[in-house]
Amino acid sequence: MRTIPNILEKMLKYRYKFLLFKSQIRLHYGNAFPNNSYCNSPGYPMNKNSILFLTLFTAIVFFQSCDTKLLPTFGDDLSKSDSLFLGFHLGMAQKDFFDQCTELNKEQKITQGPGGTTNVEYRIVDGYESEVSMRFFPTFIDEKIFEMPVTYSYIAWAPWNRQYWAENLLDEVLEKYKVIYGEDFKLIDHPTQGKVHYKMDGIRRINLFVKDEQFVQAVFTDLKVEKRLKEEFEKSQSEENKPSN
Amino acid sequence: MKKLINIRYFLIGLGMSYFASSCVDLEEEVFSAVTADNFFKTDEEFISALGQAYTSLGGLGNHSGLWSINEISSDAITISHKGGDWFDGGVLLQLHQHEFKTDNPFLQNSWNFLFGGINTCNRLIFSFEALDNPNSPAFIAELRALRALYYYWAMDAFGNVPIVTDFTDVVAPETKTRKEVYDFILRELNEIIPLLPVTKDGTTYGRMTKWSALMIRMKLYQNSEVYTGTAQWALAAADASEIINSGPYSLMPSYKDNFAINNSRSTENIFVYPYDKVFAGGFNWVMMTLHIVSQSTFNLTQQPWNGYQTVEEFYNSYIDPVKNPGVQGPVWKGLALTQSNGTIDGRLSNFLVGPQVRADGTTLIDPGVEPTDPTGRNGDPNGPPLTFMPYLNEISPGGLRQAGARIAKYEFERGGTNNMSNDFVIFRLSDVILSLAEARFRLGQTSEALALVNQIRARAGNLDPYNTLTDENLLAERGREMYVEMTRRQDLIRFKKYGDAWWPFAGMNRPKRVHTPGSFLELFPIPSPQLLANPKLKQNPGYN
Repeated sequence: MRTIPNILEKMLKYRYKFLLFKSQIRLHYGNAFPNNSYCNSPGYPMNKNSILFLTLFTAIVFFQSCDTKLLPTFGDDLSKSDSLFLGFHLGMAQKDFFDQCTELNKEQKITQGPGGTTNVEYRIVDGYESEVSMRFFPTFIDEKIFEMPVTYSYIAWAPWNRQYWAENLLDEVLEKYKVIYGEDFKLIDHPTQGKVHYKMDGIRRINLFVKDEQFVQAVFTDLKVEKRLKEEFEKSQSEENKPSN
Repeated sequence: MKKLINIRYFLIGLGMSYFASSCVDLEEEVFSAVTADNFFKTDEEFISALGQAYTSLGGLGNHSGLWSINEISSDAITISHKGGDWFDGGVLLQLHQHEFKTDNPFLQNSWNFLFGGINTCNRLIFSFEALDNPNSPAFIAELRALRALYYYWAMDAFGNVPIVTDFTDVVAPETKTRKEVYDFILRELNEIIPLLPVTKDGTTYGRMTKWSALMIRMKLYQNSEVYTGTAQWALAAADASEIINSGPYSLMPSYKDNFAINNSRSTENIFVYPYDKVFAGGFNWVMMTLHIVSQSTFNLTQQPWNGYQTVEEFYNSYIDPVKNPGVQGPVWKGLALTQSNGTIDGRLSNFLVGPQVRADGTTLIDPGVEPTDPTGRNGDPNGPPLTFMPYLNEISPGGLRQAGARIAKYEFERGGTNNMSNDFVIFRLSDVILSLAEARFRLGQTSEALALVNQIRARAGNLDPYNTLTDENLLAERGREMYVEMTRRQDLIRFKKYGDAWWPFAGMNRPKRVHTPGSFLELFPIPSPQLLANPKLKQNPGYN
């Protein structure tokens, strides 16, 4: 009986489980995911519903099968730890984000990235084993930054340049993050994602992990907004499950 | 229903890279180790794993990757430096002016896209080969076909690249010549084509089939003289004929329906990447080409970037009555101050030109418009109302914000996001028909070639058939039909036009580099970080 290499094992695990999860979500969301086409129909869910689903999905990923002590507790006095990088912060207005991007672009610090969640590219020349590409683009809720996914990869990545694979880059990014955001990152061994380094300060949660051989992924999340979205989701679920008269 | 389940599972796998991970309810079965005993039991599980190999293709619709370097380096597309926007360190100008530099990040992105895809295929092939499962050989053949596609693109762009097929091999490879890579791809395709599925239905949509693999081989033969020095027109014609005669494809009655938001039912698209704005994002053309205030035209959730533009000469090839004879009618030309007569080629749906309005029909104002200059040379001739004019005043530094016909080939969704959901066409029957025409033309079978070209012109609409076929009008017809389908650079090289001066560069302060057929500039340089990381790799001749 042959055991599949570790990285493939991880991918296969989460892919298989996603199959099961998707079928459950389809029961909940019904027409939000049309069965007959993966292209959009006119009845495709509003953008916010999609964000809601993705957000809860991401939140559940990290917390549903983990130690519940990891769940954030929201007291009345959340700190203002909302800063990200390059002058961006959680809760930043969308317009301010684009204005900041324009300024950074004029200073030639950032360029247009490939697109999607990697719309903006920042090249890090010094401080790493080799030049690193940092790409990011926020998710906006109510036209404010709710979440900021970031990817890191060595420019010199190639299948044969094993020294530049993401597993090595992760250690370097983590060290940089400790300097910037504080030392107290914790490590969990997530059943599907493998090693995930995380830190929570006030409203900001940082997750850091290997996405695949090439990319390290960081996700900065506004926990206050996430909590609100979760409450809205739970409310919508309970309304759906109410017996009809 | 089974077909729908299969494609659903495939798309689930396809969307996997979009999520950090997944989860199930609290009563999940947790595996301490995934082995062949508890996975790969069903077709759905194989397809789900395969999805990741196809997910790598998602980079095609992005900015700054393989599609960008192929299109911007051609005579069809450019991105002008518009005041403070789009200089980006000069990397875009380099591409269009053929001043390719080894540290251009677009080249690095393209390299990583290609070898990232190859690596994923190698990884999955390795895992499937380890399984004693009757499903494995078929899926391995599919992965080898997909890998052949990546290698074809790598060979076309960079020429001399390393060949890696073993996921476990940690030895840094050396450069192989373009001919060696060509031979490798051909061997792979010859072995696997008989093993690939031939059906066109929900189970094979968005996946490699015999027909898409034949398409790759046809492209190898079509460009064989460029790649190897030896033409293979008869073999190209044979593969094209097989796809046309035996394949399950037919031309759509309407050209633009191949690129609609919901284009999954196209009878003409042979191989696509099925983007989805939520689960398989990355198709960002709506952002890449539209003006910032076009957000109000289409009620988009984000502001576009005002980047990609069509070169005016290329746009004019549609409306010029001499070069493209047909029905004459009102078209937008030049400064787009008024409409004038030109050929109303049905494929003008490829462009967004002329005055733009808000979704409610009211005038759309560009608040950042340049001061008015009736000539359009140093200011906008139309003033604040947003008007996409085909005229391009210059490439840098004073490119006008409203200059250039914009790419509208893929239908824009009203209320859309930065990610489009149209399926991205990689291979299409129309390309096969034109390729067969070209092969016949090269073999001296001119009347057969002419009939094939005129078939495409007839479908386009409002066009007169050609009476004769020449290199010039064949290349032009390919250009009009295959606009922004990542064929133009390759076509220009094959037709020995890639080194020509184009654009109104004469007299401008930043001329495009003119070079002769066979120039080293017909290959992109190997990105310098790759050479530094692996000293066994060699730079393409002609580059430092």
